[in-house]
Amino acid sequence: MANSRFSRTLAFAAGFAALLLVGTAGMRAAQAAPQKSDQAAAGQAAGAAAAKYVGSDTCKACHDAEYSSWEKSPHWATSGDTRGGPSKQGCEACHGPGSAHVDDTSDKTKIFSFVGLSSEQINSRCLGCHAAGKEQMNFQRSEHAHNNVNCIECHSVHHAQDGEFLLVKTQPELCYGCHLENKAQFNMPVHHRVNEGLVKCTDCHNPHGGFGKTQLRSASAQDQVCFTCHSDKRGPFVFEHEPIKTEGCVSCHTPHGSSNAHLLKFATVNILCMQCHTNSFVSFAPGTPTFHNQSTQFQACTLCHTQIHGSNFDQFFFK
Amino acid sequence: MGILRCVRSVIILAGVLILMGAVPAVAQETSQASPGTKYGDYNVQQTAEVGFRYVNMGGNMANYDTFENLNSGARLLDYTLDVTSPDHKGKPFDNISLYNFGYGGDPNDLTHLRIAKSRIYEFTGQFRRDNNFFAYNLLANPLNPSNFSPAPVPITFAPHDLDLVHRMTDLNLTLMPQSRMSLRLGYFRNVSEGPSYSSLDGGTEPQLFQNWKTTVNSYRMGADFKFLPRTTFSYDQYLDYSKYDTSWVDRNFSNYQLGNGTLTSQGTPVDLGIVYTGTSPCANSIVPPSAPPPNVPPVASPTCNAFLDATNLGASGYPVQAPGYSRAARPRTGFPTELLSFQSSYFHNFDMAGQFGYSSSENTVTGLEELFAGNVTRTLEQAYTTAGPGDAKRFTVTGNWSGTYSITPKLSVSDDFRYDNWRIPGAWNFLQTAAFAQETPPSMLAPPGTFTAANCNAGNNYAGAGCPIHNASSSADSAAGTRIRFFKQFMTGNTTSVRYDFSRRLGLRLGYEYGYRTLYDQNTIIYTSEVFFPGAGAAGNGAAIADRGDCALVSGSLPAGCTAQPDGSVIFTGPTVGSDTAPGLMAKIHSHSGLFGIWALPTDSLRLSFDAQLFSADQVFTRITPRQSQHYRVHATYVLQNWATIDGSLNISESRDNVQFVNYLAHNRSASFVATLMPHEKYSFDLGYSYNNVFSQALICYNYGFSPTLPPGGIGIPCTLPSGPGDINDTTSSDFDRWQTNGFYKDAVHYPYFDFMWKPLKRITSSLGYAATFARGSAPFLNPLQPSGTLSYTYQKPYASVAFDAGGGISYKAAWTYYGYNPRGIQIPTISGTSTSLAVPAIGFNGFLQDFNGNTVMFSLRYTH
Repeated sequence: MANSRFSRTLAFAAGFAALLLVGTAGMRAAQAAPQKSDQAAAGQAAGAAAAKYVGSDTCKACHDAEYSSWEKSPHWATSGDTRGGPSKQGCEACHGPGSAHVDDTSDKTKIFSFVGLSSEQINSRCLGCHAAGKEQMNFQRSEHAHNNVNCIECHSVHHAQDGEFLLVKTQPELCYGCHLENKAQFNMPVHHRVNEGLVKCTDCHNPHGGFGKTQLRSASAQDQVCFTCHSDKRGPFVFEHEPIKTEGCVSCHTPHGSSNAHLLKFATVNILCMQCHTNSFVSFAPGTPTFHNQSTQFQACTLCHTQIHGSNFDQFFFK
Repeated sequence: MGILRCVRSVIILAGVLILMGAVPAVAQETSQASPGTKYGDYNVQQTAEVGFRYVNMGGNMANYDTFENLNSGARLLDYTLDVTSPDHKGKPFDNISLYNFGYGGDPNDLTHLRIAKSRIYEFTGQFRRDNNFFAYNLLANPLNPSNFSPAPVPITFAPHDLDLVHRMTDLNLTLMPQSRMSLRLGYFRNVSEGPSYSSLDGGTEPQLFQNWKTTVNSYRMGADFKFLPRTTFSYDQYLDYSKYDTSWVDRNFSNYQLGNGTLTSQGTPVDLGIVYTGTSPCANSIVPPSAPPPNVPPVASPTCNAFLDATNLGASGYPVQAPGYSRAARPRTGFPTELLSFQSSYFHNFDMAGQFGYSSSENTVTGLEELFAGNVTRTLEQAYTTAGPGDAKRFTVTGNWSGTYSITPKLSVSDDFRYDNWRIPGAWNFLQTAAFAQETPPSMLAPPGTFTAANCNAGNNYAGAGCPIHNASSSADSAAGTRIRFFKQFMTGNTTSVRYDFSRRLGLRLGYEYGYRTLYDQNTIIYTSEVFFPGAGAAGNGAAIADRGDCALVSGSLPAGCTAQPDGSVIFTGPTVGSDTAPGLMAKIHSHSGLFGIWALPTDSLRLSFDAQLFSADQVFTRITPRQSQHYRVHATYVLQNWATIDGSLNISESRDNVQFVNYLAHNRSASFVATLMPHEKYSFDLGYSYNNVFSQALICYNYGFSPTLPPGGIGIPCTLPSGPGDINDTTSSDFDRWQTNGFYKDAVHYPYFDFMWKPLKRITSSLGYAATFARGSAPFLNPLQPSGTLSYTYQKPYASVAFDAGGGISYKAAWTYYGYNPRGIQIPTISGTSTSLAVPAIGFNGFLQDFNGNTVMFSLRYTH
């Protein structure tokens, strides 16, 4: 066991070192030989700084396809933003003032383009309008932002497959693109109906981050998101099965998908229960009573403890 | 059989293709880009796909329906409607978007509607229906005992099967979404109903018909205020109102009838439950259906543990009371919640968000009626009633604040503070009455005894005709009191992290997270009154047996609160805390985590990210709450060409609570890889593989056979864990029958898949794919006859489809999917009581194969307009 742990630690250390090396190499490469995208990014700010706003109709003259896609999208509504002025309207709300670009169309650095920008720059541009919403209010501190994921990796203003949220792909394929292991989980025999289209990843998770762990949403009463649909487990019960409220549904269930019935973490119910319900000094769960004789019928604990999520009448969750 | 089905499906598929080929090639254009139809200010585009699914499945259809539930019939596969105002001059709306699928019998239906008028309103409505069918008979199935005599009643079904339908409606309206003040209104309704089954603990364990019905109506109202630059304040109110109208009633599936002493039927149905061996609930007193003479219903002894589903009067004149068990109540829960949140970038380089919430819910339970009639030989109980209102509340206060200060464009500091404090006080005011047998062994041929001073007195030693009898395990004849529960958690935490972007190609994040929580849990029972009647039947000493339960003699005297009555009964009066008061529990847990993350873009085509969290806590609440955990994630994406992307990820989670007596270790390790190749518009190829390894173990102690030596079939060593405080290694008490083993579960899942798309002609699109789950799991079987559950199996789903664009907006599609579910490689019980090795096809409970294999073929027509 000790050897195995050592090997594991070594493997992690090696992996980490490799990452650092790659990262350092990347940094050196970035410092020593800026790539085209870097040069483009550097030039944009300077090029667009002195320009003035010309209006979306001017852009349409050359960028008809982009204008057409924008016009059909929810972003069209920006054209009526009289409060924000031209800086919040139309094409220039995202791409900045276009007069310099109009004057010299051959120089693409004279208008703000998302190509070659850092994720931080891209996110800042989008959050300039979209931070003011409950969905995106925590994006800067989200797991996605921490991992350098930017808005246009999931959204596309001009080439969206989803018209409502301008997603580059529809769910769940979009999410599977990075969260590969979840595709396997949602293909297990017992799973939430995500592939079937009934449930979306965003029903439970907020991809823009939130105050909870793993970007999970909350139910309306600020408790676990699971209770939104599984309301009968929500309580409050006179007799609560405590871990459900303190450790979460994931104490016993694997929410994405499982080999086991009811998304249980174990195939056999008794082992699952006894992992907690075995007497020991360090646990607050009561041990399994001595009359729970496993040589007879007391194996599927939920055969008797049917109201295992909570009961109003029975502290042992019989009814 | 499977091959035949496959061949049949291929023939059908080929036939469809030929038919499609015969479609006249009169259409000149493909259907891919329909411009739609103009109506006034609007352009309307519609697509509709209808089809027929043919299912040819064999094997365990209950399993198939549990996992897939796709059956034959006509379906509306897809319908979309887009109404847009190209120049945005349409007055009532700018656009309407509607899509739905699944109607006609599929288990999942959905309709989504969005209507928006710029700057004025946005409305979204969604209806979802989910048919949740579950009939997997390896869960909650009782042991299939080997010592049946006579033969057992087969449990051929899942005792807890269900066929529920969820209907969820979600409506949201936002008014003036871009104004300084916008309003949000919402309504959510969630109804879940349908037949299902449960069970009950008693003298025997009967199956209960559980008529499921829960309803949630949720109302939302909120407003956003944007009066400060770059700042939004939001206020939301929620009211969730839930109704739970589920009821339970005994379901006598075995159809035994009450026999007289010679096992002659009295015609009254009795339910022996779904769990019995040769000695429980009846000691070899069952005449099974197969016994001669034929066509005679099975008969049970009147002294069985049973539920008496009396529907008529038996020869003994036993009163009619049907069914043997029923329970109903009307819990109603209201969840009013208020939420105040804000987001602001008002200050230069400083972004923050916060949220404060308060929720006070109340669950009011009225109308409890629980009725039982039957026989519990252990307690001599033959009838009981339970009633009384319950009430539980939940008060929640949450507060969150998070902020990011960008010190320089490359350096930023973030902080995230969390506060969560809730408490759940609950109380149930109960009133219970019980009636006990008038003879021992208790017989269902006689009605329960009735205690009267005239018949049951000291003169006849409380053993007169019709007097109830009791034993030390008998409950009070009547009891009233309050059960009080209080549960509370206070939790706070803070995460601070620093992020530094060396360049747009490399960034680093370091952080520290602190957590603290306390838990308090108390369970108290207060009896306001308990009445214990005497009466010990032929054994005499009736007065003494009234001294039981909370009034059991202590050093020869009645305990405080108990008073002997002139009629021989003992009455306990309160309010005094009863004997089963549990102490309040307090846990204080401090936790610390280190956070680390790094991402790199060494080139424009390569992206790497790694992050880790190392967690440690000084205390745990449950044995499987990790005391230490590590979580590592690695993700790499490499874009070889514009048309070729390789993606890989590694996700490792390790958890431990490996202290003495627990030794909890768990991990969840996954590695995934996917390659997406789209070299040409005529073909694309997806290839992926995912490996997931789940492991969990903890020391467990259990009882097996009440024997000082481990009976055959048991596993483990004598338990070395404490059976209670200070009771370590106690082998002198009843602990001798506790056995210790490593309670573990392993599951290694391989998931390979590929998807190949080919457009041989402009009008034809074909696809071929394969996805499979190979699970190999193991777990200890505390009893060799225990149903194994889903341990090891192979689940394969190859599929293919061909779509033909006939032009004019019409296209045809034929799709084939093969479902092959085959458990394997595990030890499972058989009806004979011997284990079968898994080299042979897996046999589930009562000899039922768990496998299912077969084809589904879908023919559909798509119309785009």
